[in-house]
Amino acid sequence: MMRKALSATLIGGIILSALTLTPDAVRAQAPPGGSTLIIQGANGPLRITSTGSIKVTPVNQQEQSQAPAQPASPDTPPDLFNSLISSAASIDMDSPVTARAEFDPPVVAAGGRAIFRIVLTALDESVKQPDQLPAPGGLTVTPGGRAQNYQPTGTGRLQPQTTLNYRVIPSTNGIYSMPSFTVLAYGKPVIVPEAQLVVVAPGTPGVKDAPHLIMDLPTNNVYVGEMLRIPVVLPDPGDGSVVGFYQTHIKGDAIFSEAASFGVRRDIVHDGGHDYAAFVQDVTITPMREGPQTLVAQANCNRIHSNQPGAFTSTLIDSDPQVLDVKSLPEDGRLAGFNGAVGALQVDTPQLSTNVIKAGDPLKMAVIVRGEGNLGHITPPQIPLQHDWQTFPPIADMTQPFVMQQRGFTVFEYTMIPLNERAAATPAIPFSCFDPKRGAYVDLTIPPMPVTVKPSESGWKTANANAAAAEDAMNQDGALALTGLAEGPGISAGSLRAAQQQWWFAGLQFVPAGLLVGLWSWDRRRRRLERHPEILRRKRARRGVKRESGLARKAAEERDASGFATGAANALREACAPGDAANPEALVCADVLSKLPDEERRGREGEVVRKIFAAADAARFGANGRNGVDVLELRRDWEQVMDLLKARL
Amino acid sequence: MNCGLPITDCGLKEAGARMRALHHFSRFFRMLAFVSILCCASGTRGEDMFQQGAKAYVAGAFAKSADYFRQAVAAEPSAGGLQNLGNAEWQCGRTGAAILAWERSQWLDPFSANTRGNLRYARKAAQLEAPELAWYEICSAWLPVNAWAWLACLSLWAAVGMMFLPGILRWPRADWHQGVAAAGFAIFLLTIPALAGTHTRSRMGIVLAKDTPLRLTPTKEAQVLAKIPAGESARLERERGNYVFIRTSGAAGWVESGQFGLIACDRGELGKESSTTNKHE
Repeated sequence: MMRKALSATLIGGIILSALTLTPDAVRAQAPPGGSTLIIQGANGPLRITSTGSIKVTPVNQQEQSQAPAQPASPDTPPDLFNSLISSAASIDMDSPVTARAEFDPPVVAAGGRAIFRIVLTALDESVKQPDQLPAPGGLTVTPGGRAQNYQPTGTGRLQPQTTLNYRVIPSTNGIYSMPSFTVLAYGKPVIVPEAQLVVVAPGTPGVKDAPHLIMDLPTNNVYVGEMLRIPVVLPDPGDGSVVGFYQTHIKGDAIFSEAASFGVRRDIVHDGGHDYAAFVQDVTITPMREGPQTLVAQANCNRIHSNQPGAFTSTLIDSDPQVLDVKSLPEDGRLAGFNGAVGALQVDTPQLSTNVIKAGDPLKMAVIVRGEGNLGHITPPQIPLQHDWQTFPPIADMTQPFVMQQRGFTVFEYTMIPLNERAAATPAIPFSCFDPKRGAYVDLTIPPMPVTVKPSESGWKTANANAAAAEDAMNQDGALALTGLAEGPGISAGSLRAAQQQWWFAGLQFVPAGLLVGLWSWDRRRRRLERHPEILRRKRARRGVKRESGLARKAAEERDASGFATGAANALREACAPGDAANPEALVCADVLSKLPDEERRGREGEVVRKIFAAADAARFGANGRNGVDVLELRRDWEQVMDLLKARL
Repeated sequence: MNCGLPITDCGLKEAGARMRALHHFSRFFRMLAFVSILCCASGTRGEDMFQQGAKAYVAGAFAKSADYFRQAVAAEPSAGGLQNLGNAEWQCGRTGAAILAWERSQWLDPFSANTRGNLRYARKAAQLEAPELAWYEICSAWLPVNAWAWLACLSLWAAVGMMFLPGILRWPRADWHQGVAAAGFAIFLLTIPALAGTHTRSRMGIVLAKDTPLRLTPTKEAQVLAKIPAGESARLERERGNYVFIRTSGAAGWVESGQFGLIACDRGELGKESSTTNKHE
C-alpha cells in the first residue's frame, strides 16, 4: 500500500513537473549525478545528459522500440495528457531494497574526518533509520547530509537511491567496524551491512580526510527577508581526485534556498592567512525567520574513481552545521508602502506609454526597481484609491527570480485610466524598502508623472461604455474613505451569536407555550364544572363536613357539649347541602331527616339527628338546654350518621 | 376558644414556612442584584475602554487603540465598538482583522452607513470581493441579526394567542382578532427566509492572516492548494482538530482555525483573532 501511494505521489509530481515544460520536452529524468532531458529535435528525439559536462546523444533504438505504440490518426493531433502519461518516468519501487555502507575514505588519520555513507535503493520518504547508529567506541558519529537521486535500470525504469551521510571522527588508531544494523524502507526492514574504517596515525603519507564543504556566512547583521549570496567552498586536495561539485544547496529550518545557483568556479580562498585552491559556488538563500538558524550545505561531489582511473564517481558531501543569527526587521521607522522589499534598492523614473492621453484611454506605466536585494520576490506596491483615476492591480515581472537577480532589476507595470481631464499627473505610489546595510527603511515612493488628459472627442460616456461604467464606479467610490470613529457603542448584544442559535431563546418559547397550555387547561376545567355544578358542591360539602366534624370532635374531647352539638349539627347540614343545592346554614332538622332513608329516619339515626339539632338550638338560643352530658354520649351514633351521609357525597 | 390561642403547632409551622419563603426570596433578590451589579460593572468597564480607545486613536496610537476597543467589545459587543476596532485595526495594517470587525459591526447594526462605507473602502483598497450572498441571506441583512428572531417569536405567539385567547377568555368575537392572527402568521412566514439567511450567514467568516495557505488536508504537512489574502470572505463548512474547512468564492480547503474568524461568535472569542493575526501578518 505504502509503495503504491508513494509511487502515485511521485508519478503525479513528475506529471505536474512535465506540465511546466514546453510541449516538445517530453521527458525529464535524473540519471546518477545529473539529469537527462529528451527533447524533440530536428532529426528525431535527442537526449541531453548533464554529468559535469553536457553531451547530446540520440536516443537509442532499443528505448524507442520499447515505447508503446500509439495508434494515432494522422488527422488528429496526439492527446497531450496521454503523451504525458506515456512519457512519465516509471519509478522502480518493486525491486527488493538493497543497502550499501562504506566509510569515505576507508583509511583516515586519528582526529581526521571521515564519512559513513549508507546508500539504499528506496525513496527518501520511505527510509527510517535509527536515531543512533551502533557505532563502536572511539568513533564520534553525527548525522550529516541526506539526498535522493535516480539511477536508470536496464528495464527502462528509474531506481531511487537515497544517501545518508554521517560525519565520523575517530579518536585513536585502530580498525573500527560499524556493525550491521537494520533500517526501515517502505515499512520493511533492510539490513545495512557492516563497514570497516582503518584509523592510522596523523601524518601518515597518502591519508586524507573526506571532502567536505565550507560555508562562508556573513558576519554582519542579517535580517529576515534579506537575500544572501553564500559562497560554498570545496577545498581542492590538489591531487586531481576531485573534479568539482554540483546540485549545491543550503538546508535550514526557516531558509528559502533559490532553486538555481551560480556556476562553479575555481578560486584561491583566503582563510586566516592560509591560502588554498578550491571549487567555489555561490548559493542564494533568504532567511524567513528571526533568531539563530542552523545551516548545512550539501552537494554532490564528482571524484575520479580510485580503482578505475578515468572513471568518475559522484558522492554526497556536506558541511559542518553553522549558525546564522538572523534579526527581525525593525518596527520603528517603517515607512508607508513597505511590502517586504529588503536590499539596497532604488527606483528609476517611471516610463509612461504616452504623456498626452484622452480621458477613458488606458495609460501604461513601467517602473524599474534596481539594486541588490530580493528583487525576485518583491510584490509591486498598490496604487492608492484615486478620484480621477481608475487603477488596476499592478503586474509583477514574470522573469525567473534567478535571472532577475543576475540582471539586477525588476519591472512593475501599471495600467490606469484617467477618468477626466482634471487628472494632471499619475498618482504617487507609496513604496519603501529596508536597507540592511544602513539598518533603516528607505523611501522609494514612485513619483507622480505629469500627463495631459484631453476630453474624449465624442463625449466620455458615449465613447467608452466600459470607461463610463468605471467612471460611475469611481463616482460611487468617490466618497470611499475611512470614516471617523463612532461616537458611542450603539447597538449592543450579549453575544454575536444569533439569538435563534442560543439555548435560552429556544427555552424562552416554552413560556408563552406553557401559558397558553395553562390557560386552556383552566378553561377546560371551568367549562366542566359549569356543566356539573354538583361536583363543586360536593367538594365544598366534603370540605365543610371535614371542618365541622373536626370542631365537633374537638369539642367532645374537651367535654364541651354545646360546642359538640353546634359542630355536629353543622356537619350534618354540610353533608346534606349538596342534595338541596342550598346554603348549609339554611337547613333545619327536617331537611336533614329527609335525606335519611325511611328506616333510619324512624330509627335510632333519626332520633340522634333530632337530639343533636335540639341541643344545637338550645345552645344557640340559650336557656333550656338539655343535659350536655347526654349530647356528648350521642357522639358514636352521630359518627355513624355522618358515615352514612358522607357515603352519599 | 381555640382561635384565641396566639401560637399553636400549626402556627409555628406556618411561620417557619413563611420564614423559609422569605429567605429564598431574599437570596434570589440578592443574586439578581449581584448579577445586575456585574452587568453594570461590565458595561461601565466597556464604556471606559471605548473612551480610552477613542482617545488613543485620535492621538495616533492605533495599536493601543485597537487593544482598548478589543477589550471594550469583549466586555460588551457593540456595533460602535466593533466599527472603531475595525478602524484601528485598519490603521495598524491588519486588513483581515479590520474587515472582520466591520462585518461584525454590520452584523449587529446593518443600518450603519459608516461601517458599510468602510467595508467597501477596505475591499476596494485590498482588491477583495464582497461575499456572494443568496437572496434570503440578503434579506437577513436588512435588520439587525437578533431582530428577525424576536420578530418571528412575537409574531408567531401573537398569532397563536389571537387564535386561542378569545375563546379561552370568552372575549366577544371581533374581526380584529382574526386580523391580528393572520398578520402574525404572515409576518412569521416572511421571517423564515431571513432566519434561514441568518443561520447560513452565521457560518461566514473572514480570513485573518495574509496569504493564508489553503491546504488539501487538515495537517501541517498537507499540500497547499492556494494562498488566500487577508480579508477574504469564506464559509465555514466543518472543523477537524485545529483546522477548519472553508469555502471561498474560488476555492475550498483547510486552514488553521486561528487564521479564520467567524463573524458570529461568542463573546469569549471576541478579540482573540487579532492576537492570532499579529502572529501571521
